[in-house]
This record gives sequence, C-alpha cells and structure tokens, in this order.
Amino acid sequence: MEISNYIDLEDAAERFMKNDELFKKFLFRFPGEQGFHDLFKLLEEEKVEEAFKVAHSMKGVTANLALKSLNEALKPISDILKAKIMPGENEINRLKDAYEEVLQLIVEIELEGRTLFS
Amino acid sequence: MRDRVLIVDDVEINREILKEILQDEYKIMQAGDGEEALQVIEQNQEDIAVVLLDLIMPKKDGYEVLEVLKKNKWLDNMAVLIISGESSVETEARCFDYGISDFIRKPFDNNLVRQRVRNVVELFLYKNHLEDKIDEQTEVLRKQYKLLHKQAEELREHKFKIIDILGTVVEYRNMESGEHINRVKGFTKILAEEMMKEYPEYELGLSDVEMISSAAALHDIGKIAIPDNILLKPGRLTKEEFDIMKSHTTKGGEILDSIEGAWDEEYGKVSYEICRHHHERHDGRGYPDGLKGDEIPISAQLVSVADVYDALVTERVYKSAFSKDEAFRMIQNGECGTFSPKLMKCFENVRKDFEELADRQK
Repeated sequence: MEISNYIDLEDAAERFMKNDELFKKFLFRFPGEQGFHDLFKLLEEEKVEEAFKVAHSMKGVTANLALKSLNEALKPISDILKAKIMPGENEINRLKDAYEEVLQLIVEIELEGRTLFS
Repeated sequence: MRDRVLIVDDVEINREILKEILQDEYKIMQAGDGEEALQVIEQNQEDIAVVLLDLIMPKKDGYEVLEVLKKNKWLDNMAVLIISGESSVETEARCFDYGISDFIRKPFDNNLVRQRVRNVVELFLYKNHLEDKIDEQTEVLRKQYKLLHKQAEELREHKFKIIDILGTVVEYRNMESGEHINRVKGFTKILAEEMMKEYPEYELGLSDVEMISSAAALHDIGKIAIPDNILLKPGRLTKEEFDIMKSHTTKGGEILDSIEGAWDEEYGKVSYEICRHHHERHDGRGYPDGLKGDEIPISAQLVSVADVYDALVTERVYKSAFSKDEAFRMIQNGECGTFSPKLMKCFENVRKDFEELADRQK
C-alpha cells in the first residue's frame, strides 16, 4: 500500500519533530482506539448527538496522527452530525472502508518495520 | 509546588501524545472527560500549573469545565490551554472570555505545544512571584508606616515637653515654682473642654483643646525679656515700670515669631495668640491691643481665666492666697478683669473641677 495515500508524512514529520519512533509509537496504538467502534455503533443506533461528539474526537485524533484519508472521510459525517442529521449510508460505508484501509496499512507498516520519515 | 499538567481529552492517544512531549518537564495527570477533570482539579488545586483542555467531550464538555473554573476563581492560579479541533473564531473568542491563556488547534504541533506550555508556566510563575513580592512589600510598608506613626507620636510628645521646659524656665526666673505652668495648663484644659461641649460655635475639637492647653505653658514666655529689677521688684511698680512689665505680652509674641520650623503653623499661631493676648479684657480695657469680646482669640480668653484663677489661689511674694470661694467670687464679679459671659458660664460649670485641681497641686 502506498503510505502517502493515507498518511500526510510531511505533516506528521513536522509535528512529531521528525521522530520516527515517536510517531510510530502512537500510530501503532491507533487500532486499539475504541472511538471508531463506538462511532459505528452509535450510527447504527442513530444516536446523532453522541455520534457527533465521538466523530469530532476521531477527527481530532486522525488529524493528530496525520491520517489524511480517514480524516477526510470523517469530515462530511461530522459536519452532517453537527447539524443533528443522520448521515447517509454511502458516507458511512466510505468511512468504514477508509478505516479498514488504515488499519491494514498500520499492520503492514508494523510487520515490515518500515521507516516513515526519511 | 505547582508542577503538574493536567491533560483533558476523551481520546487516549491524544493524551498520550501530549504526555510524551511534556513528561520530561512536568508531572502529568490525565482525565478522559470534563467530569473527571473537575474532580482531579478540585483534589489537586495547589499542584496543577496548567490544564490542557479539549472542548468537545462526553459527559461534561470543556465549556462546562471552564464555567466551574471561572466560578471558583481557580483560573487566577492555573493556566488553561484549549486544544481543540473546533477552530472557529467564535469558539476561540468564547474561550478567551473565560480567561484561558492560549488556544491551540488540532492537529497540534508537538513542539509548539511544548513551547506554549512553557510560556504559560513561566508567565504564571512570574505572576505568582510578583504577587508574593507585592504582599511582602505591603507588609514592609505597613511596618514602616507604623514606625513612622510611632515616631511622629514621640516627636509630638517631645515638642510638648520642650514647650513645658521653656515655660518652666521663665517661671523659675520669675521666682515661682514650675507648678504654676502645670496648673495653668490644667485649668485651661478643663475650661477648654467645657467650652467645646457648651459652645460649639467656637469650633473647638479635641486636638484644639490639647494644643491650647499645651501652648498655655508659654503664656508668660515674654517675661524672659523683662529686666530683673522690674520682674522681681517686691513693691509696687511705677507706671513706667508697669508699662515695661506689660510688654511681656508683645515680647512673647516676638519671641514666638522668631522661632521658625519648630512647630507647625497652627501651633505657632495658637501659642502666639496666647502670649500676646492673655491680658486682654472682654470690655476692651486690657493690653497690649485693647481687643474686645470675641476679637480676643478664644485660646487667649481661656488661658487668661486659668492664669488669673491660679494667681488668686496660690501664694505669691507680694500676696497671700485667696480661698477658692473668694477666688471664684472675685472672678465672677469682674474684680480681676472682665471675661465673656460664655466663658463665665463655663467657669461656673467646672468650678468643682478647678477646685479639685487647685487642691491636688498644693
């Protein structure tokens, strides 16, 4: 998988002081983050307000980790939820796909022991 | 010791990232929502230097935390930095209205966060240091003020003592005991206090009473300038001699005029009035200026009664003492000068006090 499609490496390098280990330490913790599971569950239950808070939080964490594809997929969902409207199935599915891709990418990076900041 | 940073964010990874960049410099505490944050803050008020606060969180959100912090005035002692994905100007303005120290947008730059935390910590340390300094200096000022006050009090007492000494020196030269001074002061005080109560139109206050009775010690200071052969002459004075004798009033005024800077203006004025005018008479037939009625300063009027009364009830080289009853009658009848009716009313009111003082001083 092409990392730069999913992670804004330049941004990550800058914010993590070009410390590859430090960035990876947190990146590898991302799959354990409960937020997305909560978000999908809340969306299923159509709990709009609670879902917004979690979506907003996930937007923050994906931005912090420079997970750009996932962050971009979250934006429309978060905006719609903020207006207290349920997002459509398409947006939700797009988000689920983006999430799965990122999880897969992280596994790859971990397994192959890749260096991210050159 | 305020050396703790509380990180409040509902996402653990965010908290961990912040912890990672700050833990070398600060002790880190964490809270996953607003409610938990408030508990931690309440329990660690004295130790938390900085709160890094997320805005949108489950349970209590960041605004609710700010509300409580503001209400409890905790923002005076701890800095709050908002770290939020909410980046609208309104959001930022609203947070600054609460009194936060800084606003950082997500995604945050780790270096920037570290630097901004350092900045606010230093700012607050400096501010607290300044406040301590101010407290310290206020205390020093308060002590110095107290000392000054005490010294002013001592100076005032010294001034009164020196005035007594001046008056006593004159009395000794006059071959009288220094007791005359003390008694005249005492009678003046009794009379002035009564005057203050009975006739408010003279606008006498407690400080005036004190000043007049102290300055009464100087009433005869002009006698220092009268030659011995006249001052101490046992027999009757010729008219020329008596004229010289009378000049002790104007001479006293001159002496006081020549003394500058030893006392304040008001004290100087009262002393001068007493020296110059304590032989004036209500009917205008006194000396040196022939002032009438209330043209005569009230200070001098008071001292003149005190002086005459003391002269009557004590023994002098040229006369024996009159009884207190006789002295009272003679003054009331105008046999020893004329005084204002108001003054005579006061004199009558305090007759007992005068007599007690006369007995005590014998």
